[in-house]
Amino acid sequence: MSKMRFYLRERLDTVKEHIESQLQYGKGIRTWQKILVTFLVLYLFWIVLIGSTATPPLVLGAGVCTLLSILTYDFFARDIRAGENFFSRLLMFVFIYIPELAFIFLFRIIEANVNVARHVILMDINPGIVRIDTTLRSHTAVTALANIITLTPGTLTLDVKETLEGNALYVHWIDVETLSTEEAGEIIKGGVDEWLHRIFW
Amino acid sequence: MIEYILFLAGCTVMVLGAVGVIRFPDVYTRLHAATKCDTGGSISILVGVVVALGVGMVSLKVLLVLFLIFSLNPVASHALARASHKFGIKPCEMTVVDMYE
Amino acid sequence: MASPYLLVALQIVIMVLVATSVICFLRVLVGPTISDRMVGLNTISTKITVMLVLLSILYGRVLYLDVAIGFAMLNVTGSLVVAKYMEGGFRD
Repeated sequence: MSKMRFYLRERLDTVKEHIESQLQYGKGIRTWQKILVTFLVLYLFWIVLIGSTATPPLVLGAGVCTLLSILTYDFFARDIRAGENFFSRLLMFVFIYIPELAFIFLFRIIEANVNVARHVILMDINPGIVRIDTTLRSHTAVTALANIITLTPGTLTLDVKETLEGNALYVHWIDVETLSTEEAGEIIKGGVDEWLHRIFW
Repeated sequence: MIEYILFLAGCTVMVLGAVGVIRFPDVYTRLHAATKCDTGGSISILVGVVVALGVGMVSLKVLLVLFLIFSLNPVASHALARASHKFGIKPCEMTVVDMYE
Repeated sequence: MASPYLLVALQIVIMVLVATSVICFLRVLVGPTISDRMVGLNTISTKITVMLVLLSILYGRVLYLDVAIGFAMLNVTGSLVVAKYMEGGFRD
């Protein structure tokens, strides 16, 4: 009976922590910051799609993007983690985080392709579906993690289920090395989890 | 010179991916070959095109196509894998463990 | 604008892509289940997107790039629709 009570208390603490973190991070950044981020992304997309640097399309695009970002800011920028200094984080994101991710990713994609080539030629496969846990909660972050897992060597995301500590991902692994959830998580996720934690909640 | 090397690497990866789609035993392993080799080969070939064209608006559009392929291709393969598992397609006999359901 | 060697290289790359598409089309014809066929079709669509980009450079028409962008988006939508249908319809 006493063991049961301790178990229940631990469970209750987990639930309380979950709710607190949802309340704290769920609000995200401020509204004008959301509008600014949405405007920058939309305007970049507009310039690339128009494909010229003449003045009238740029002015028209600025107007349309301002209207759209005021109307739809909560769809796009809801999942960004709140932080202290907004502009320094924006600059860090453009000049440090993105090149870092690209550098990590380049080698992993090359490794993935060489790996698949080896499996195609030698047929030494050993497939299985394992489960890994992550502490990321927002939809954008989990989507990005699942995409990156799919492109890294030997793994393919099957499904995502929400748990109390975050999310659980079911991963099809072409060459199963371990069955334990933690070790598999360390091998599969690599450093991507921490990278996403800096931006999303 | 760099662009020709990138074209060659992309073509090799694409051919290996197509052979993998034919040779692998079940849907999930075929999805491995299709997704990784397609995305890697496309990235290699399109980066070769960007290197050949140099800086400009056309290269920006090619980079946009690259980004779309890079971010949308895994989504489609993920949806197909989940749907075929729910549809009742079993993994092949070599499968070690199935923790999903 | 483009050097003749580059044009020849682009033509060779397009030929290789068409050959790999034919190999994937074998899987579409043979494939025992519906998702095998979808895997083959998805692969072919990605190759067609890359081919559109290469053709736009080859013919010197920027308009094909916009077609490639639209095709890359629609391709994924088609796969998602078939996946949703296989899961049991659009009820939820």
